[in-house]
Formats: sequence, C-alpha cells, structure tokens
Amino acid sequence: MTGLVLSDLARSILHGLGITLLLTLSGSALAFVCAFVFGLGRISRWRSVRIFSIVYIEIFRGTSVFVQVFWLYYALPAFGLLLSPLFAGILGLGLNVGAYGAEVVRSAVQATGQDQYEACYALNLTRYQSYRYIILPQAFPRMLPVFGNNMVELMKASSIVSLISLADITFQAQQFRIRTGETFLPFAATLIVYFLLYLGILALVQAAMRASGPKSMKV
Amino acid sequence: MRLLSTKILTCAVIIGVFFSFTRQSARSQTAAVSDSPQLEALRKRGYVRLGLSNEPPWTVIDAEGRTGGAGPDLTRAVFQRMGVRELAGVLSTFGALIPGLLARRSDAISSGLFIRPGRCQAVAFSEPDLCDREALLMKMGDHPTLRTYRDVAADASVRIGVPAGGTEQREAQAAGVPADRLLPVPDGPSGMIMLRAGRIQVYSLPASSAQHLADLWQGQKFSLVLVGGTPVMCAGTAFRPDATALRNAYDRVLATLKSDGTYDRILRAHGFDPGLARGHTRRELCGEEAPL
Amino acid sequence: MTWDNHFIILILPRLMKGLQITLIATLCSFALAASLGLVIAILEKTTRGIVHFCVSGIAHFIRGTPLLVQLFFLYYLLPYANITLPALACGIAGLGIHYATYLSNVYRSGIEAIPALQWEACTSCNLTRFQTWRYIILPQAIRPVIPVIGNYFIALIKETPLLSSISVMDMMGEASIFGDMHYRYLEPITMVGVLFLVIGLLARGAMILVTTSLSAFRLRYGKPDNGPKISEYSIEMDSFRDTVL
Repeated sequence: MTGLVLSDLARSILHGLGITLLLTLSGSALAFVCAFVFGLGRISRWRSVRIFSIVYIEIFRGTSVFVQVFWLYYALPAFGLLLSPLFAGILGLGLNVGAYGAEVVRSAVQATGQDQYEACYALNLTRYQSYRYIILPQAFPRMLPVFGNNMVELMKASSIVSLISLADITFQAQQFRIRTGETFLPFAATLIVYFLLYLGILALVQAAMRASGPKSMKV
Repeated sequence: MRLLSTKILTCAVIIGVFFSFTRQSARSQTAAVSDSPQLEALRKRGYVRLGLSNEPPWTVIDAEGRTGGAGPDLTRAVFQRMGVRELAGVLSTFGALIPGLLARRSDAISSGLFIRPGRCQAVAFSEPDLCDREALLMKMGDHPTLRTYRDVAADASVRIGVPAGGTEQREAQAAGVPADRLLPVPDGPSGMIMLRAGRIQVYSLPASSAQHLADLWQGQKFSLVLVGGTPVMCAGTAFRPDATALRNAYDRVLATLKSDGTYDRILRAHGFDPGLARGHTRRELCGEEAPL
Repeated sequence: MTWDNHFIILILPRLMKGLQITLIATLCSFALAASLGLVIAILEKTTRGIVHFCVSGIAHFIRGTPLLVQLFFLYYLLPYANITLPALACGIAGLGIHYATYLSNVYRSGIEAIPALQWEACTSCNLTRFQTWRYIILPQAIRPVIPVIGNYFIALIKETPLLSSISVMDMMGEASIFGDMHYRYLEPITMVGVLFLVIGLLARGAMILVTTSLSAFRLRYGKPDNGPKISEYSIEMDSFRDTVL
C-alpha cells in the first residue's frame, strides 16, 4: 500500500520536474536576454530607449510576479492575446526576473572604472567595440553571482505557475493530495526536490564563476 | 532626424500589430451566432479544452493524469457523438472556472457548476445533467444542532469553510454569515485539514464530494448532514455566452444519451442518481430572467 | 470581455480593506525578518562545528525552497504538531522567516567587512562579548547595509500576494474572491498591479529619504564616511561562499 503510494508520488513529482526545469531554464534564458537589452538600454544614449527601459524595469519590478503571471493568463486574453499557459508562465517569470537583472547589468557596467572608458576613447574604439571587448568582459564576472541568485529566485517563483494550471512540481503535489488525502508526504517531497534544484543552480554558478577567472572575482 | 522617423515607424508597426490582434478576437466573438461554426472548429482541431477543478467524484484525475469522473466522462461521451474525439483538461481552482472560460482558456466547463440564476447571466448552461444536495461536514459530535446556513449565521463561534466561488459561498452569505466567519477553501483535503485543526467548524460542499472526503479520511470521525432548506442543486456543462449554438448542439446529443441509457450508465458508475436531473430544466433552474 | 469601469468602483473599497492586511503583513514580517536575520547572522558568526552546520544548513534550505510551499507547510501541517496559528500569523511567520535568511546574508556581509583590528581592540579593552557586539560591531556593521536592507523591504512587499493562497484576505485575496464571485479577473488583478506599483514607488521614495538623511547625518556631525563600502555584489558573493553543504 505505502509502496504503491510512494511510487505514485515519485512518478507525479518526476512529471512535474520536467515542467519546472523547462520553466526555470527558458525563463532564465529570457531573463538573461532582457537583463542585457534593458540594462544597457537604461544607460543608452537615446532618450526614448532609456525611457522605454525604465518603464519596463519599473513595471516588472514594481508589481509582484504572482500578479504578473495571473494577469498574463487571465487578463491578457481580454485584449485579444491568448498565450498558452506554458508561454504565459515563461514570459511572466522571464520578464519579471529580467527586470531585476537589468538593474544588475546596469550597475555592474557603471561600476567599471572611468579610466576604462577613457582608454577606449583614446584607442578610438567604436561604442560597440568598447562594450564588447573592454567593458562587458570586466563587468560580467561581477554580474554572475547576482544572476545566480536571480535564477534561484526564478526557480522558486516557478512554483506559482501551479495556479495557472501548469503541471509543475507544486501542481503535481496538489493533485496528489486531492487524489490520496496525504498532505505531509507530497509537500515534504516537493521541498526536497526544490532544494536539490537550488543546490544544482549554486553549483552551476560557482562553476561559471571559477571559469570566469579568479582575478576578475575581485569586486 | 531619419533615426527618429524610423523609430516612430517601428512604434507604429508594433501598435498596429497589437491592435490587429485585438480586432481579430472581437470579430471571432461575433462571428459564431449562426449554426455552430465553433463545433466545426472543434471537430477540425480534434479536441475540446474542458475546464476542470479536481473534485472527486465530479472530476477525478488519476496518477497518470487521465481525466475521469462523472462530469468529464459525460462531457466526453457527448462530444464524441458530436465528432470531437479527444478531451484536454484545463485544471484550475473552482472559482477560476468561469473566469477561465470567459478568458478563452477553455471551450467548456465540465459539469459541476450548479445552474443558478446569477451564473445563467454569465455563461450558457446545457440542460441539467448532474444533481446533488448541499451538505455540511463537521467533526463527529461537534455542533449537533447545525442544520442550515442560517444556524451557522446565528452561532458566532462557528466558522464555515466553503469552496471559493462556489454556490455554498453565496448561500451562506445570503443567510447572513459574516465575511470573517466565511473562509474560502481551495480544495477538499485542505478543507479537511482546516476542519481537523479547528480553523473551521463546518465545511460545506456538495454531498457527493463530502461523502468522498469522509471516506478518504475514514480513520477519523466526521459527520455529514444535508443542508436543510436548500433545494436539490443541478449542475450543467457551461459554455461561453457567444457559443449558444454549440450549447444547443450539445443539448440535442445529451437528450439522446439520456434516452438511450448511456447517461444512466455513466452517472451510476460514479454514484450519481440519474433520476434527479430528469425532473428539472435549465429554464426553471435559471429563474426569473431568461437564461442565455 | 472588455474593460469595465463599473467594476473598479465596486472593487476599490474591498481592495482598500485588503490593503490594510497587506500593510500589516508587510510591516510585521519585515520586523520579524530584520530581527531574526540578525540572530541568524550572529549565530553563524559565533558558532562552530555541528551547530554552525545546522544553522547555515537550515538557512540555506529555507532560502532555496519556494515560499508558496513553505506557507502550505505552516498552514496545513503545523496543526498536526498541535500548533494552529491563524492564517495571517502563518503568513507573517512564513514571510518573515524566509526573508530573515536573506537578511542574515546582508548582516553577515556588514559584520565581515569590519576589520579584525576592531575585534582585537575590543579584546584589549576587556569588553565582554555582549558589549563588543552591542556597542562596537553591530553599530558599524548595520549602518552601511541599510540601503540593501531597504531593497529587501521593497521586495518583501511584493511577496505578500502569496499569502492569499492560504486564505489571508490581503489585496490579492480580496481581488481573487471578487473575481470568483463576479466571474472576471481583468479589472481586479489589474487594479492590484497598479496599487502595488504605487506602493512600491512610495516605498522606494521613503528608502531614498532614509539613505539621504543617513548620509546627511554623517555630514552634519563631521564623521567622514570611511567605514566599509558594501556593494550588493559582495553580499551575493558571500551567499555563495559557504555552500559546501
């Protein structure tokens, strides 16, 4: 009996794990892109780009990710845009965390010494060249640990997509509860799986930090 | 200067694309008044998205994620006769079923929503198919005199749990239960734990669901009473207000299922009484105002 | 389904009621997070061996798992241990403990930025451990991290909607009940979003006031700000340092 319940639980959680991983990875990828586009847009030469980036960052940082995902799923269709649940989830998580990431990119770039910019200018590098070869390679290691934490935040926030009928780990645990009446087991298993994912992300980021070189680790 | 005009052009294109989306949806909303092009679209797609809330025995989701239970089984049988083979469940909380349907997250809501006058103005119901009574669950020996929502309203020490957005919530509100003693419950097991922990003293829900939960928690003693003073409630399958043609087609097939015995077989398999719904019609259950 | 202003008027009073709960939850859980976070930071600094391992292990566990599931745990499973807290108290406890583990990192960065010289000076002045912490270390450790703590405060405000999933009637709770009863989420959820935007901006403004008045205070009393400069990066860096679990 208990063996049957346990294997049922393991199967449910494994099903959910796929969705959680998919959400975390594609959400992080989207967040990564948004962070750079809007983080650099925030310090752009063009006023309109700056304003657009600031509006994006303020809106997505200013409201809760819970509210955003809910809005994308239930309210956006009223404006004629029906996103699939998975896409709404990825978009909500990615745009939200991307807005936080944009601030990280901006402050990491701005933390690069003025002398570096002057050197680029002296060498007659184009704006693209100076960012691509001089500024960003120095700023990137500074961003890494914060990106790591943002990825953890995204992974944890992905649990709320269970509320928009996406079958992630939390959702599967809830369905298991309704099916069996057990509560402790599914929740405990859920917490443990999330914690393992957390450790996995930490290891990933630490490896990335090591790869980006020890001397650039200094802040 | 040229840069600025390029940017303005880009903005205009983006705005234009956005609005063309909006317009398209408005057109599709009005298009389907004539003889069910919606059914045609469902047939072509091969499956119907069915709004569900996991509440045995109305809706049962098994370990493999397969959808069953009285509501979906009946809806599946009807849609199969209509030429739509597959059924894709869209699970949400009970309260989010109608908002989800209206937001086009599903094409229909599996039976389980009681046909009540207020709801008849929001969605298009099929003829009634599953009927049940309202019940109160409580700890054995606790508050033995509670029989109605009015009793609950009168006893200041009793907090009542109700499915969020359910008929029970409206009925209890109407009977005068104040908001601070009326707790929304997301799902069955949560309600049972709240009951056990004393967060609520009474949990009100349809009798069949209550019976299922009481069986699931067989180790502990719960007593079940039928709510006095409320009529038998009948549920129907719900469609979007603009899908009355689809609903009418559904009703025609439902009527044949009711006469050829398929309906009785499905309901008995899940412990529902097939006789109850035969005494009721949508028009009567929807009350004064004309139903959609 | 299109936008309907009529619903805004219907829902605003309820959202205002929910706003009170949101604010209570925010302030109480922040107070809990700020004090518990300090305790965790001091414990992590002063303990060795197995106790240290347990403290930081638990902190990591709480930081690494979703608040939503933690709230479910507190609300549905704590009663099995005969502890039945009201929903709002569960929410405050969950949110407060979750953020305490974030803030402990922040405090720790502040503590570790203090030069060893200060500790040695305390020893040579024969201060007790309590005196050392109370009068020398903490005042210097906390001041530079106040802006970072402020950021976490603003982040915490935006986590409160999760409390609605354990039937706390905060803004989100009121909005979703309203949506359930009137069959539409468009206006309620949009309004909640707008209100959060306003609250967030107000909180940000307040934080700027606090930070500027802090630096103004330093200027007025002629104390040059030569304390440790602590960036967000060094804190994030710290949170990775001891993950040898």
